[in-house]
Amino acid sequence: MGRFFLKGAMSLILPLCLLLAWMHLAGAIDNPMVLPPLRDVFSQFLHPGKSVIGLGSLFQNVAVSLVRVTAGYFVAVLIALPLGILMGASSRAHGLFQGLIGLLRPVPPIAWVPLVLSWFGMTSFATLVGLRSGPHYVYLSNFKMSMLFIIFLGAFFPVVTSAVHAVQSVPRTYVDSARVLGARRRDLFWKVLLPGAAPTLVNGLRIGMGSAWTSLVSAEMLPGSISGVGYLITHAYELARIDLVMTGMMSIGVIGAFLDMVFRLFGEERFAWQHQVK
Amino acid sequence: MGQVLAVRNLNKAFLSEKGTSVDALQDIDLVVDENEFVCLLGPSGCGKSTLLRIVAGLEHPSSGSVVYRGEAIEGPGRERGMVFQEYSLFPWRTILDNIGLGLEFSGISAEKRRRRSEEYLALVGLERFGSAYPHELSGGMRQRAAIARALANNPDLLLMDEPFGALDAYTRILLQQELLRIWQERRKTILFVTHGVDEAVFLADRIVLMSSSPGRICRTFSVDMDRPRKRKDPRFGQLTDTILEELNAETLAGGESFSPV
Repeated sequence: MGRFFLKGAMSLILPLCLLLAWMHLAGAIDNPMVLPPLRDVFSQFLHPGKSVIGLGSLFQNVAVSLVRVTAGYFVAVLIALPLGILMGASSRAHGLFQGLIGLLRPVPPIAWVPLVLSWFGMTSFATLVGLRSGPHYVYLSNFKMSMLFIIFLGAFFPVVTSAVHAVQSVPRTYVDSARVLGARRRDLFWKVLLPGAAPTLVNGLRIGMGSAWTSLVSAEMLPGSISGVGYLITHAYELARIDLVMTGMMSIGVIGAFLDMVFRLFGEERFAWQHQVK
Repeated sequence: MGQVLAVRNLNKAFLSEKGTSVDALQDIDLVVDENEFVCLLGPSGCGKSTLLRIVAGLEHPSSGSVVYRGEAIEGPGRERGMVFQEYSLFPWRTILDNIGLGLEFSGISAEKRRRRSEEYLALVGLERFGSAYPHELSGGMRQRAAIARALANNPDLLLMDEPFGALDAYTRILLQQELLRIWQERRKTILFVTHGVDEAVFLADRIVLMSSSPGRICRTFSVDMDRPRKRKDPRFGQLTDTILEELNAETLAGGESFSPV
């Protein structure tokens, strides 16, 4: 427990140094367009419920972004995880899908924007359920298919690639020893490949979550976006509110780091055995 | 005594990375009788592990026949158990659940599985470690557990692929004695792959000497010493010497000399 706190404290040293440097530099530069004072940015965090530049509160914008990321990520995992596992387990499936995935993977999500806009237009959760107006419409129309698709793309490729790797790197001795003990194909899949790949699979889910969160800003810069941390940054920039830009950046950083930590702690706790295995 | 295993005219060729065919095993003839302890001895790369994997059904020969009790071997089977060199226990399962793995695959109820697993846990002297995970055990204990896992499936022929190769010298000797005890108690037939001459002379009824490129059987030695064998017995040293000389003659072409252990 003591070591845990020590490690936590260690990882906070450099961020705190950065804040200190920021404080002093902001005072020395004295130009909020270059570097706004630290207290301006922090006062945004102290009043997360206060409406900012007509976009609703910081809290609301963060919540909208989180729901978008979760939805896009969830769909990506739903497809990428089984597909990656299948490709890792079967060389035939690997041969079939690998070429396509290899071609699509290098294209950054933001390059899809023009196509995605013409495909999905303003379709959102609201239009999907047939709403055209009302309070629910205002809320649900925040979740546009185009944005979810961009986030989906951000998460999909890391998850599928690492799932393939996870299954392929299960040691052959595990499979061999299960086979000589009388395992059938079903046993090999559920009792050898899947548990053997689990730690790497979870790590892939973690990388995918990070990547989904990173594509958020691209997604929220799409036309028709009127909320979310990414949009908050774009819009604050147009209004020359650099303090708000930095508030948005810090929110993304803190939430991303937190989600990453949750995955890591889960993985470390659940798969303690993997550190001792070569 | 009946024949358990008969390998006839077996050849195995691999495709190398350059796409050329490499002979791993050439004209192998081998018979293993009921309750016999046979060691396959040879330098690394002589194909002894490949031969064992073919008998296990994990690989297929390029030509020739492999017959287990009158039936051609097509794939793995419970009657042929196998112990690997290391890292074959599933690290995410406890030792007890590892030992019960084969029973689980054959659909035996959890209660019966537990009792059988505990019996074999005790057989290899690991009673206190059933709920431990493999990484919490020493290399020697892990190999005991791997042996228990193979035995719990009640195989008739036990295939062992350098099972003590990764252990320190003292633990290896300890486990050799354990293995002989279990072999005598349970009346199994064992085909044991090793590159240790000392190990082969200590364990085997018969030593099958192999040479490399291509992997062939070059000679067979019967070991007519009573057990427990003493390493200080002059006959022990003599036989070890003879085998070493033979091995050195065989491997001289490859420029590799052979050590006694």
